[in-house]
Amino acid sequence: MLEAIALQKHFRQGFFSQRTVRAVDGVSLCLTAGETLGLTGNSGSGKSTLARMLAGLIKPSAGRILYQDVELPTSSPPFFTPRRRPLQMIFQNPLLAFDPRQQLRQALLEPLLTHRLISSTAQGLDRLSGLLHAVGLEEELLLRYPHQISGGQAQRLTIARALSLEPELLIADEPAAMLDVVAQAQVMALLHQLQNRTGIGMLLISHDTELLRASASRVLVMVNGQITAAGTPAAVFGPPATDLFSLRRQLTTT
Amino acid sequence: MPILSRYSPWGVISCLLIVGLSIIALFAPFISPFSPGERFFPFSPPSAVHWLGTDDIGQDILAQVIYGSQISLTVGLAAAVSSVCLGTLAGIGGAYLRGWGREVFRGMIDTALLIPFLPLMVLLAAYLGPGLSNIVLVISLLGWCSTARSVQARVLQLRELPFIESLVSLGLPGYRIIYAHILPNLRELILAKFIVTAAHVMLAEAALSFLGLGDPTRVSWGGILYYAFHRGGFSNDLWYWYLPPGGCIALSTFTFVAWGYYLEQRATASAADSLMED
Amino acid sequence: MDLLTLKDLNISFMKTPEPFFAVRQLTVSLALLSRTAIIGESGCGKSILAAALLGILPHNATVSGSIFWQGTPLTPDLLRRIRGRELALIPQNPAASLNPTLSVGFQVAETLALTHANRHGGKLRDQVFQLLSQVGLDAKVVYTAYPHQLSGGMAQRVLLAIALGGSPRLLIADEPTKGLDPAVRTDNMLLLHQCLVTSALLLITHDLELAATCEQVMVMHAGEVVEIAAPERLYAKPRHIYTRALLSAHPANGLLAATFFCGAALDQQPGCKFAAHCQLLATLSPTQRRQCRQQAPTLRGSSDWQVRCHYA
Repeated sequence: MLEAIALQKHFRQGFFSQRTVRAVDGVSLCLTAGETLGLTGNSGSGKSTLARMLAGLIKPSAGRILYQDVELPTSSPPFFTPRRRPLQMIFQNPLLAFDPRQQLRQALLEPLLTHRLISSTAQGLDRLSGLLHAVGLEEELLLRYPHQISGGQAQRLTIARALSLEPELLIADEPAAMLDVVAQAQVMALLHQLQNRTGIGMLLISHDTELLRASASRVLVMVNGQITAAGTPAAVFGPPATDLFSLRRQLTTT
Repeated sequence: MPILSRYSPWGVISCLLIVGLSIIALFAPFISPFSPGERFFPFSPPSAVHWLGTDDIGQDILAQVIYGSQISLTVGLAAAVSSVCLGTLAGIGGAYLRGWGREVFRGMIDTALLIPFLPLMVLLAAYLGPGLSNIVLVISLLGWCSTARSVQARVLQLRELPFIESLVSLGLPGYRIIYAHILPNLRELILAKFIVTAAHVMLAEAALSFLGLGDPTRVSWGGILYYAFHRGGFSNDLWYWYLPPGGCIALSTFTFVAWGYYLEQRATASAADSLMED
Repeated sequence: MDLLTLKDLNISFMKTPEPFFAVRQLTVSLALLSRTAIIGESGCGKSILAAALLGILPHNATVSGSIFWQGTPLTPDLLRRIRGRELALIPQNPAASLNPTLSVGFQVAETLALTHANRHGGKLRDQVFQLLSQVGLDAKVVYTAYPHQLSGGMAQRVLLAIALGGSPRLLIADEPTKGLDPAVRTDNMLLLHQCLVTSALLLITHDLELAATCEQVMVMHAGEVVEIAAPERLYAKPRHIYTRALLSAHPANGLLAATFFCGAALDQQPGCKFAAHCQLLATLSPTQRRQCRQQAPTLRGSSDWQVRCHYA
C-alpha cells in the first residue's frame, strides 16, 4: 500500500562546511494494509526522520514515496493536499501534541472541519462521541484543556484525532515511550483493536524490542540511516527474554 | 497565588492611574475651568482663579495641561496599536515563512533595528511637517521593530514545538496554524509589548513636541514645555509653567510601565501555577 | 537504626472542593545501604514523595506525619544541612538539570566545594577528575565540556558524579532511565549500583526490570503502597490484584491492558478500591465479601512481605 524507494535525507552540517550527515541513507520499505511493521534502532539512527518523511513533514533529499502505486508529491513541505489525508501520524509526547491554548473539543473538531469531513459542529460532535467511545474516553474530557489530562488520556486523544480523518495508514513514532507500563499496555491494546476493526496499516516505531515482539508482524532494524535487518520479530531479535530479571543478573555477574 | 497578584500594589496603582487619566482626557471640557485658547492677564502666578497661573500670552496653564492629556493619550494609544500590529506581522513573517519571504522580513527587521530612533524620527517629522497624524505615522513607522524582534523570537520557539508539527501532519494549512494557534500563544507577549510601546510612544511624542515638531494647533504636554522653554518659563523659573506638564509626562509613562510590570508578574505567577499541576 | 523512617506520611494539595491526597498513610523505613524501588503508574505519587523527602514540594502542598533521619526528626534545618551532602537526588530530566552556561567541571566542583569546605585549587580539581572517571566518563574531555555537548546518558552520569561528590548516605534516583536507549539504560543502571558503596538507594521508576535490581520493591497506586516485597517473590507470585495487573502490562508478560484503575471513581467507594474488579472476591464467603466492600484494607503481613488486602 505504502512504498518507499531509496529514500535519503542528508543534513548539511554548518554553513560553510560541505560535511553532510546522512540521517537516512537509501531506505526502501513497503507496508501493506492491516499489517504492523515495526521499526527499531538506537536514537540517532534516523528512524524518526524516516517517519517524518513518510508523513510528509520533511522533504526527502532523494527517493520516492508511492501510495497505492501513485507517487506522492515531495517538492516542498508541508504538503497540504487532500491526498495526504489517508496517511496520519502520532507522536512520542502526547501532552505536547495539543495547542495549550485550545480546548480539546476544538482541537479534535479542527482537522475535521479543515478536511470538510463535517459541515457543522453538531455533526462533528456526533462523530467524536463515537470515536471517543472507541478509544475508551468520556465525552466530558473534551471540555478540558491539554494540561488537565494525563499522558495516557492525551495519547488516546491523539489517536482519536488521527483516526477521525479516516486514515488508511498510521505512523506511530514511539507512541508509548512517554507513558508508564499500564498506559503503554492500554494504548497498544487500543491500536490493535482499531487495526483489527478498520484494517489500517501501521508503522510502529519503538526502541523497545519486547514491545515490538508483542505487537509487530514484521520488524526492520535501522543503524546509521540504513536498514540492517528485516524479518519476523523472532528471527530478528532471537528468543524472548523470559523474565524481568535480566538486568539484575547482569548486575550480579559484573 | 491569583488572589495575591490580583491585589498586587502595582496592579491597583496602575489601574487607578489609567482610569484617572482616561477620565481627565475624556471629560476635559467639563473638568477644565477654561478653554485652553482663552486669554487672560499674562504671566500671572497661581491664584484661586488660575490654579497654575497663566503663560506668556495669558492662557490658563491648568486648562492646557488637562487638554494636553487628550493628545498624549490619543497619540500614545494610536501609535502603540499600529506599531504593535506592524511588529507582530513582521515578526510572524520573519519567523514562520520559509525561503525569500522570510529573508525579506528578517532584513527589514534587522535594518530597522540598526537605525538610531530619535534622529530619524526628528528628520521624518520635520520632512512630513507638523500634524497629529504625521506624528502617529512617524512613531509607529519607527517603533515596530522591537515588537517584531520579540515576536519573531517567540514564533521561532513556538514553531519548533511538537504540537505545530502534529497540526501540520493533520493537514492544517499554514494560515490557519498562524491565525488559530500561533497568535493565541503570543497573547501575553503582544499585550506586554503594547504597554511598553505605549509608554515609549508617549515619551517620543513629548520629545517631538518639545523640539517644536508637534501639532501647533493642538496643545500637548510636550508642546507646553516647548513654549515654556522658548518664552522664558525656564529662565525666569516659573515652576508652575514647566513642572505640571513634565510631571504629567513622567506620571503617565510610569502608569504604563507599572501596568506592564503587573502583567509580567501575573504571567510568571500563572506560569508557575501551571507547572505545579504536573 | 534505620536510615530513613516515614510514619503516617500524608501529602495533600489544596484543590477545590476538597484536598487531593498525593500520598496517604505511608509508613516505611529504609535501612542503611538498602536498595528500594518504588514502582507505579504516573500520577501515583512516587515523584511527589521524593520531592517531599528533599523538601522541594510546591508551596500549595501540605505534609502531615513524621519523617525521621537516622532517628532524629527531619526538621527544615536538619534537611538544609544534609541535602546535597548525605541526602542526594538524581533528578528526572538530566539534560535540563545542568546549567547550560557553565562547564561540567565547574558544576561538579561547585557542589564538591560546598560539601568539603577545605578543598580548593588543585586538590578540588583532582577530586572532580576522580569523580568523573568514577562514573565512567573521560574526565579530561568532559571537565571542560558544556552540557549541550553531552548526550542524555552522559548528562546523567555527570549528575551522578555531582550526587556522589557529597558522599551521600541516601541517593534518590527519580526515573533515571527515562528517554535513554536500551543499551545506555543498562550501562547507566549497572554503573549506578556499582557507585553505591556507602549509600542506600531509593529508585523511583515505572520500569519493572529496573526495579528488579533492588532488594525491596514498593508498589504504589493512587498515593498508597499496595504491596512491598523482594522482587523475586513479588514478580513470581504477586498477591495484590494491582501488582498482578502491573506485571501483566509489561510487554514480556503479554502487554495485557487493565482498564479499571482510574483514580476519581475509585475514591468514593467506602471499602477496598479494587473490590469491583477483584478475581479473589469470587472465591470468598459472603461475609468476607462484605468486609471487602465496606472496610478499606490496611497493609498487613510480615516485614518482608506486606500487602494491602484483607485476604490475599
